[in-house]
Amino acid sequence: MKKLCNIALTTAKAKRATYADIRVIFNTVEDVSMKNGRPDVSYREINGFGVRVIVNGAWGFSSSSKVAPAQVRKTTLEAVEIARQAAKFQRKPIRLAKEPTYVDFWATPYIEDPFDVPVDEKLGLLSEIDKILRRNKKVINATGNLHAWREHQWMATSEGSFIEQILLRSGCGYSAETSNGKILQKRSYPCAFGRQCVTAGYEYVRAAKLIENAARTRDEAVALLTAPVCPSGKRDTIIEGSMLALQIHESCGHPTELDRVLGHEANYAGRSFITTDKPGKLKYGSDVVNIVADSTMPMGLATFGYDDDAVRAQRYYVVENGLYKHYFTNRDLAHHAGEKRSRGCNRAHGYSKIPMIRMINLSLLPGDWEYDDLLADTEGGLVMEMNKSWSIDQMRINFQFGCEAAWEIKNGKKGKLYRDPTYQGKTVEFWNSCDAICNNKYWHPWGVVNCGKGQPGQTAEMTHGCAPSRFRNLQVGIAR
Amino acid sequence: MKAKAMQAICKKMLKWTSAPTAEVRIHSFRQGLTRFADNSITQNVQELTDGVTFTARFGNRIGSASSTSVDDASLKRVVSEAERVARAVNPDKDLLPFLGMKKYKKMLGFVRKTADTGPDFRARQVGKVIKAAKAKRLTTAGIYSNSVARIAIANTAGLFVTHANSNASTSITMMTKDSAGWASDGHRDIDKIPIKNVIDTAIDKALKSHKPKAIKPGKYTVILEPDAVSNLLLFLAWGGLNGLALYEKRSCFSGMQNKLVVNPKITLTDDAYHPLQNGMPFDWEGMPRQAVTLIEKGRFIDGVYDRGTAKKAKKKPTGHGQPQPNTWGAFPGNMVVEPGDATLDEMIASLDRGILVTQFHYTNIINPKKLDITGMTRSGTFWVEKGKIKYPIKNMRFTQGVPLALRNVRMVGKDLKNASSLFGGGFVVPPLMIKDFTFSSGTDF
Ligand SMILES: [Zn+2]
Repeated sequence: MKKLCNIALTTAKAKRATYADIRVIFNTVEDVSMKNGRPDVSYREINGFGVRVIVNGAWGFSSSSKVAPAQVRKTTLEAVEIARQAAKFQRKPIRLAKEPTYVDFWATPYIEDPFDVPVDEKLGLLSEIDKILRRNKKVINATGNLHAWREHQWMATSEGSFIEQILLRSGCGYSAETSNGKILQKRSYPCAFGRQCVTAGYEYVRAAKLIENAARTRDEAVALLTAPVCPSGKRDTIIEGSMLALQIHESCGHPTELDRVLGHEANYAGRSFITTDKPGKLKYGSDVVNIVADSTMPMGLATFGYDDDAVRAQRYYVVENGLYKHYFTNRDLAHHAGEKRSRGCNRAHGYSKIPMIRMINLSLLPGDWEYDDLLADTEGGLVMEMNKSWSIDQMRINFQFGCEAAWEIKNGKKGKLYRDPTYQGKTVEFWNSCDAICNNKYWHPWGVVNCGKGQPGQTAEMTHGCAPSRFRNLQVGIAR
Repeated sequence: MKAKAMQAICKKMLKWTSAPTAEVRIHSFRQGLTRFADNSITQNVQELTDGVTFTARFGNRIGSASSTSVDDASLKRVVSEAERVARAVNPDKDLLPFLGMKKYKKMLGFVRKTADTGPDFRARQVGKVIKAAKAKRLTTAGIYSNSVARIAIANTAGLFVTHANSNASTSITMMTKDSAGWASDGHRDIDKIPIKNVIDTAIDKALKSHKPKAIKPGKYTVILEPDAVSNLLLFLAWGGLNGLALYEKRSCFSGMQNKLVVNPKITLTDDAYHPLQNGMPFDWEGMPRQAVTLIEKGRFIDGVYDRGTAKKAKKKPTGHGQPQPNTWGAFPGNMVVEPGDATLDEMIASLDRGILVTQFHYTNIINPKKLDITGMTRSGTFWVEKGKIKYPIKNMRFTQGVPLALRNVRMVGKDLKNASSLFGGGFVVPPLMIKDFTFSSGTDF
């Protein structure tokens, strides 16, 4: 593999590239799914390499699915030509922040390889869940999925880094969709959108209590059909982790991406209200709000040894005691934030796409509340659980989220169930209204597997740890 | 990859398999894309991806495997992985036999020049955009892209179909300190992209959007430009017009056949053969893709169906299916709204009080049955009074049912555009004037 990588590096150097790197990736994915008893199993290999060069101060990138010496040479020459063309309309030459070079191997720790678990065993598990979910006739769709993903990557840079990494992910999830002809409802477990994913082995799936939660999931989906619509107005609201994770993602994660701040996504995903004058000054949230970026956290989907700039994984505060501190950066843009070193957030969707700034794992640190005490302290308020719908403006200020279910809080307990809850707000007001966060007993990592950005489009995965938290006077039910 | 090479791979794999019936799907994709921001090229990339998917079938057991590696050793591995999976699954009685050869309509999809264009041409086009932005002291961001995709499907029932598409597109945002204007265009023929018009439109919208005023949320008459219309239709496509959603009674149009569901000014078809469309003449099962009338003069006719759903629902398949075992249903990906007779300027001239919307951002479903959706306006939102654009307004969030919006259509424009949205699409649509469109909150810019 080193030999193959060297073809790219020497070819680029001969064409006067001042920097070059190559990433070779062998990616294997297995999805075992079931819908209403029908199995759907697919096994995929996504193999290829991407070459990135700096020539005349500009980036060029080219990729191919054909991993062979002649193709590596050809693709590298294409990348050089692309960089030359880009240099014609490049305002300032690319400057890479300094980083030590590494020769290293890094791998996700796991106990049981999910690819070793036979397909029929996995289908057996899904079938058992399917039977429980469809025991009620109101369930029109029962879907389940078990996911296994392995990425074996080699990265070589012209600076001398050679890094081999093996990342492993396991995922599982199911949902019950119910209908009475007029209303459509859904409950999911452990989270919405098909599955909860982590970097771990199949031991995660075995411990996920899938069977144990199936009947409750079904019954709640059925109960939602006759539940009243969530009331509108201003309510103190406890947002569960299964919703709050996406709130962190959309309203803190994306505006923290430095390329968005600099306008690189102005034509597509959008920009950011956290302009470069804000770090160290913006009171992003209340004093209890601490949000940490961390590509070293166990089980995170953006947990790795090194990013796609060959920068080592890091952990740092984005928001500390409510004060906004640091962006997600990469080697080529870090200096725009006045920083000397990249924070290791350059990531690409597989071999075929150029790396760009992506949020890494971003988590709300736990507070000190017991869940029951928080309920008791929020009389007349609401609990909202599990994201169903999301929308936020391109500066990341005005958002509206929908959840699968909500409950009123009565006599210190979860009372009446409500359907179609939504809430709406503005980012800084919202996080400043947070006055209570549950403790680490209630803190879970939640994976996001469908984060889209860039043209051509790239998908990325990351994890947001959080515990149920209370937001005062939240505008709920605006959708009516 | 050429069609001949694809056919050779298909033949090999079908020969190697021990499964009684099997299917091969191959795709080959090449894209070049030049991305710019802050008046400078920021990402200039090329991608070349080949891929093969093999489906093996033993009676009612089916399994698939795929790879982007197409050397013989990899292809053999893909065949055996698919067989391993097929042997492990439980039987699926809903499976239909693989489809044999059918008659397919000819379709223009591929323009050589679009496929062969390199980074030098893209850089020149982007150079024009940056130069125009600088001349007006604006900041620009966007893309210029060209791509070619070829697919082939073959199976043991004798099917072999192949089709190639080319596509070129540009999308441009121009910005002042407090405003943005956006425009885009795309075509299979790279020479048919009017780059100057796209630049001028984006600049015009950015300059006109300078110093926006906030207005109160509420119900307003809106004129939606084609990109905003396309965005609404994307949700209708999945949630409303997918035959499986209709059959499972999840659709807003379930049980509404032949009933007036939207304004009689609206006629909606799915027509991959429309000159502005860029579809393919068959679906992923090998069925010929048909032009289907979905809504005729406001009456709901029917959705689109894959073979499996068609059988259950006692309908005819329309050639919009996914590969088996398909649990998603069928998707009308080439929708066309029949044009009306007013230009956009005439529509604005006839509006007494209302809002002109260029584009929507980050729309999403709130209520899947009623098809209530929410999203933001973006890059060119204007207050119109007495037939004239009066001033730009700050962006707003809408929360609105799609069928209800189509019921409230007052005017249909005559100029069609192939428009897509942040999350996909590619529908051929005119601008629409819609009464009582609900804006539920505002934002700061
Ligand atoms: Zn995202």
